[in-house]
Amino acid sequence: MTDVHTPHRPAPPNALLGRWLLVVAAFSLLLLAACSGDEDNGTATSTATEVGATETATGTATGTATGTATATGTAAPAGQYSLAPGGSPTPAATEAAAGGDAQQMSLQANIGSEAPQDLVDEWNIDIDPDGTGLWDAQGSVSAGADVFQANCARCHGPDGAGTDLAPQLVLGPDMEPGPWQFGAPRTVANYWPYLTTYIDYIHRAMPFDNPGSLSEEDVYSVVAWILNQNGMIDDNATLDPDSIMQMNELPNYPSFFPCYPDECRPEPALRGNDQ
Amino acid sequence: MSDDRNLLPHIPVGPNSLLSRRRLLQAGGAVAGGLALSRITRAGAQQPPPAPNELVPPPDPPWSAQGQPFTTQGIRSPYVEIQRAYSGGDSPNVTRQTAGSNFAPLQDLDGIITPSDLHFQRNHSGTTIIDPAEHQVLVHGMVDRPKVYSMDDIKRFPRRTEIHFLECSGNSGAGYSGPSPDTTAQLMHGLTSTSEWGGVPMTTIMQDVGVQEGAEWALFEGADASRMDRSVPRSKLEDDAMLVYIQNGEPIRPEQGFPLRLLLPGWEGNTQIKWLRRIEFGSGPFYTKEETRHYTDALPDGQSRQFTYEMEVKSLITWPSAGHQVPAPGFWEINGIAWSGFGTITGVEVSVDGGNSWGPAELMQPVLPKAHVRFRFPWVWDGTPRVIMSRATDDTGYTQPARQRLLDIRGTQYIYHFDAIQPWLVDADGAVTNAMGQSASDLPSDTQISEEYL
Repeated sequence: MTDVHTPHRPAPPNALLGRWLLVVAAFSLLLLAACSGDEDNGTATSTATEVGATETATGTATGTATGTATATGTAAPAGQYSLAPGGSPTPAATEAAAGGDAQQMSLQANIGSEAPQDLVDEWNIDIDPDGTGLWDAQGSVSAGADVFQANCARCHGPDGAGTDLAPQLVLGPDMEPGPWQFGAPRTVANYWPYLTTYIDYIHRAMPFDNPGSLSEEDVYSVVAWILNQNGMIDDNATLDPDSIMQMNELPNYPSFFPCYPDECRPEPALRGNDQ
Repeated sequence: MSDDRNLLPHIPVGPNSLLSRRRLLQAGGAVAGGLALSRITRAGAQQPPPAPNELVPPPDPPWSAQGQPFTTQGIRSPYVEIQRAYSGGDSPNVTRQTAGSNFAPLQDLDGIITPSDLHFQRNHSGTTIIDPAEHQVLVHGMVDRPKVYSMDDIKRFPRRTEIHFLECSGNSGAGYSGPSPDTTAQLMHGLTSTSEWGGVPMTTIMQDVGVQEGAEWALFEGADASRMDRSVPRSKLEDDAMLVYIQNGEPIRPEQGFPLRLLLPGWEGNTQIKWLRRIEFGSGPFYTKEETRHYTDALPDGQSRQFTYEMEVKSLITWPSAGHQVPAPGFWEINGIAWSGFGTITGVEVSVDGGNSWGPAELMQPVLPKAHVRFRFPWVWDGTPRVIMSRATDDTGYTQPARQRLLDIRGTQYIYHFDAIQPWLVDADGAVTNAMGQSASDLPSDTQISEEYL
């Protein structure tokens, strides 16, 4: 079956390809046999091809990416099966042979539509650490106090101290903003690495029972109020794209380290478990 | 650790046999009771009892009468009670009822495939019901051809079917703080399930839109109320990622993301966005809330690991486990599940003496990469208190650690990726409880359990 499986393609599509093409081939030849009127020849051909197709399918199902089961040689390689003895190329077989594999054929089928720009604009809501997606708006601490009490306090508590329904947002008087310390609650002042992520999330998913209901100005304002309650900005400060980006890397930003692409686990001390 | 541990001599009793044997005993008791009753009714008290050697044909049990009519939807036997358990419990609050976890009943399941209606759930803002005829999937960003697909479009692409587990990265998280003795396999480890998934490889979609050079990451976003989103590196998308719409032979259920979800075999469940509506390619991670505030792993020194994607090797004994009762001393077959997000399980060892000795369990077929594998281990219980546990090894050579070794490195604030060995205490009366987090001095002295496992 190595003739069918071109080496430069990844294994799983190839395995599928072999199976698919041979099923097409077997089916085509069955049709040929039924229509040719040469019963002996047609029956013999279709039987042999069916066996080949079955074996290929088995090899694929067991995860043999190279399809070695067809090394038994009962199936003709791609590009040849459409010229089986006593038959002539069928349209289906010819198209399959000419089109390459199923994936390539599907890509030529022009599936899906060009994305309308207004759909992209409406759905592209993420705000990224480089500031992409921030709105040109302004929010104030004082306005944020009202937004918080109207939308957030019922779950996070009037002071942002958290309830059994939603987590603590404000550290409280006995803790300063800074890198996260073992055992501490996780707030914007001591855990979240980026302010843009905080804004993105509140806009995306809050308030919990009515997400997306806050205006852009409301979001900036309520974030300003939470930052203010955590002692991170003054009472009269405003948030806009410039001021957000100036403080975008939050106090705990340096504490994160990625485990991709270099995996951190399993930890060396956990390897070599005594057996 | 040798590779031939699963080539043990065949043990002529399967885990199903164990269950059916117990059921047969129960059923036998019911039949015998019916027999005695019917004799009195039919024959009356006057008739002498049959001679000892006389063969008495058993009466037909009631279920041998004409049965129930066909139904369009299948049902479980009324004698089978298996159900999920969710974290919100009886709370009437909408937050508690829509955000949280719904645990699969591991101690009541068998085989490797989880029935779809018992598949675990971890929702961030409820299950959303999407009309597939209206659903669209947008792919944009660093691509040559930004596209939008209908579900009919998605289904035209050549499909692939694979069997993989899905596991919440917070599964077994009670292990960091220490569970209570009555914490069952379900409530401890029930945020994992295995299904047969069908859909289109991400590579096909990526070729269709023409992902540009330098687009090393993609953002995946759901259409649910939380617009749940996560960044996924291109290498995983090119490796084995799929957009799936089939689960165990039927359209995936709303609870699992109908009509379309991302599947990233072996990775944290939360990365595998349900109700998928948008894919945006970009040059770097997008640093969403679910990869900063949550799903990052805080260490004792205050640092936090980020992008810890693979779920580590794990196993547990599902029978007998907390809440079960071992009926009597004698032969019983221990069984359980093992899996690894790094690859394929190569072996499971079982200890029935608190970790003082370990023996290889038999891995039951099929043994598939990044899928639950079922194991079994024959056990003759001598009736003394025992701590039983399993430890799995995968083909990267990683073996589940003892709990204290894991805590020494990760501390108790890590939340996610708990994969330590699960000890169960079988007491002298056969009652099974969770031994994790207990003090060795509180356990029966003859269990001889080492503190490192507790």
